[in-house]
Amino acid sequence: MLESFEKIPKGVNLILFIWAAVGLFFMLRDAKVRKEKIFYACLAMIAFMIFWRTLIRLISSRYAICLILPLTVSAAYLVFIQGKRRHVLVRVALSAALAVSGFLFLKMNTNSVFRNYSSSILSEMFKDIESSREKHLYVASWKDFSRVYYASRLGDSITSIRDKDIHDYVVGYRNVYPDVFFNVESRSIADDPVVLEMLRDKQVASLIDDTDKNKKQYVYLLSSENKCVPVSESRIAPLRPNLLENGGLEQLDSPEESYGKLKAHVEQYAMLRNAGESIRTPRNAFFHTAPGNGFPPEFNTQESGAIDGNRSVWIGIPDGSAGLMFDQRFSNGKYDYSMLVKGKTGTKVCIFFEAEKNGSRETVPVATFTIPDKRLFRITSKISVDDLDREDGFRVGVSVRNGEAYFDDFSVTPSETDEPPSPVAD
Amino acid sequence: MPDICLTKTHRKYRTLLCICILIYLAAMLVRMIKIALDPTLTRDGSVYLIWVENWIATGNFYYDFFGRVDPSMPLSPWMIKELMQLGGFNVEIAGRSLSMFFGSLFPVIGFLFTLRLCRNIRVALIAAFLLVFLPELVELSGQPMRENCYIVFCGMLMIVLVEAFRKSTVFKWALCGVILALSVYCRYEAMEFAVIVPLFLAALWAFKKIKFKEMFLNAAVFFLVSGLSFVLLAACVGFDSRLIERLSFFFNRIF
Repeated sequence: MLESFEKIPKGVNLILFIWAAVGLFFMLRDAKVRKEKIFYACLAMIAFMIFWRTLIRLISSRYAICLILPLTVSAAYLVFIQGKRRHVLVRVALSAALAVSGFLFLKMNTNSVFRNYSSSILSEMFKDIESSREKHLYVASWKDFSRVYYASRLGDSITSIRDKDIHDYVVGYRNVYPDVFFNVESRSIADDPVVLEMLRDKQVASLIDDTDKNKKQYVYLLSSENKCVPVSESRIAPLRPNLLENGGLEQLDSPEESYGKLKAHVEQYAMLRNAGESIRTPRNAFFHTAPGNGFPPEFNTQESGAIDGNRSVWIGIPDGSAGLMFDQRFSNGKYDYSMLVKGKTGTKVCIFFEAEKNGSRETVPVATFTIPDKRLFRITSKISVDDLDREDGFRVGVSVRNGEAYFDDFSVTPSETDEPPSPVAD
Repeated sequence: MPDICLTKTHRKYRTLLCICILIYLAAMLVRMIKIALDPTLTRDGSVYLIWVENWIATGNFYYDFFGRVDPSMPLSPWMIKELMQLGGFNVEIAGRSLSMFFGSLFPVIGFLFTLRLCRNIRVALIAAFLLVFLPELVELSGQPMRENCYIVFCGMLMIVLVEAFRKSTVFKWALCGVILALSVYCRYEAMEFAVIVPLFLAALWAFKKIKFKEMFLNAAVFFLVSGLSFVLLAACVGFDSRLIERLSFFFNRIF
């Protein structure tokens, strides 16, 4: 209740509130006013309005704005009566008080009314990035989300996050999309050295949020290190040295092993049981999907239409997500993860790794690509893992969302440079 | 308090009208300067514009905003929508124009309220001066928010309430009912007047200005007219059962 009450002077202007309180005091001393019955009714109205606002628990000080009108009457009465005082000391004291508070009133006015800034920086920036609308994710601190949403016209490619999630987004999503814009308030990241380091020199715009509170919004652009480049089908060169066993998917599990893996990892197995016996999984890998991830998922190791060698993996799911994950685990370190992909235009390919963190299994997205056309592409991305709790290591995977694609030539190579690896000719 | 300045002569009414126009123009000028210097939309201001855009796009004001059901009283967004469709303005211009209109009108309402309450034009002019320059109001008038029309309707309700207190007639209490419905349709916080108006009636009875029967009759007229106005507004602007959820949430906050 007290908290709500404290918001009332803030909502109606503190100076006005003080003037009104003093004015009310003089009104109570005025015999002519005391004779007016309406005065008591209005007094009861003001008391009830304050009581009502403390009762409904003011979420915002703006909710108290309706009180401005009766309080202004009282404040105006104070200004008026001040000119009527006879006693010199009272006149001097009141004049001084009004002059000081009047000065403060003007100062507040200057600060909040004539704030000389505009949102043009934000609008200009959005014009620049509009052409690449589908290639990026715009992440805004929830405090300014609606304004950015409105100004940017970015629609669904803008995401709202809480301050406590900024770290995870900056660290986890910076490579998931080709470009990620982070719109955050400076104070939200001030205590996070990791985020500060990652965002250093990445600022593309700034916007004064509130001069009174010295708040500023910053926009950072983190471009992805991941690449998706077209490759000639006649000149496919594998990456060396490949740490991933059977990355070329040439070796298959036996029908019994494939059937067992399918039962273990495809939670919608019941739906697939008719086809289950015909699905062959590559050695060192398994297909996976889960209830709620869409239906019907289809995957198999194909000989026809193989990208490289004799076999490729085909994954198709019209509405939802299904994928392939490798059994092999890797220890902490920096790696380059790569694969060849060819598929239906618009299909989303998500690269991820799965790690044990804090005793629980966690799937970490690394990159998301949209297949731009029917050509063959090599996707390369960087995986950096250095905080695994156990020695279990992590394992890599890929999933397809809303579409279909062939995959081949998976490789995991130790990363030596910050640049993505280049294909090495045989 | 010093004596009246308002008389019933035409000359005085004309003077009063001129003063009101001058106050309105002064308020408008200050607000225009403010917008020219700082056109930044606040976070909440943009929320209202998104609401209106969603309303036009989906035909439903209670469209889930980012999957969050957040129904609000729709009068202000409805007025923005209608202004857009009537004048062919974009949402921001329509929203800001409407706020400017109501925001500039508020000092006039303040002037009239003070004049009726104190019956002293000097106090009323000081009040108008304060309201023209009050930072909170100037800031608010530049933003397309429903508070602008909410405070204007509440101010009008207070003026009629003072008038009704000075000379009680059924028409004035009925007018209170109409304005109450309008202000509640802007912000449900205006429900407080559903308590304040009967309190004024009770005070009139306590001061022996009206009889008990008259108080009861006026209260019945007030509630009946406000209910009727609310239904008419709902038919005109639109109503959704989720508003009831919102109102019940509001009452839960109290009790």
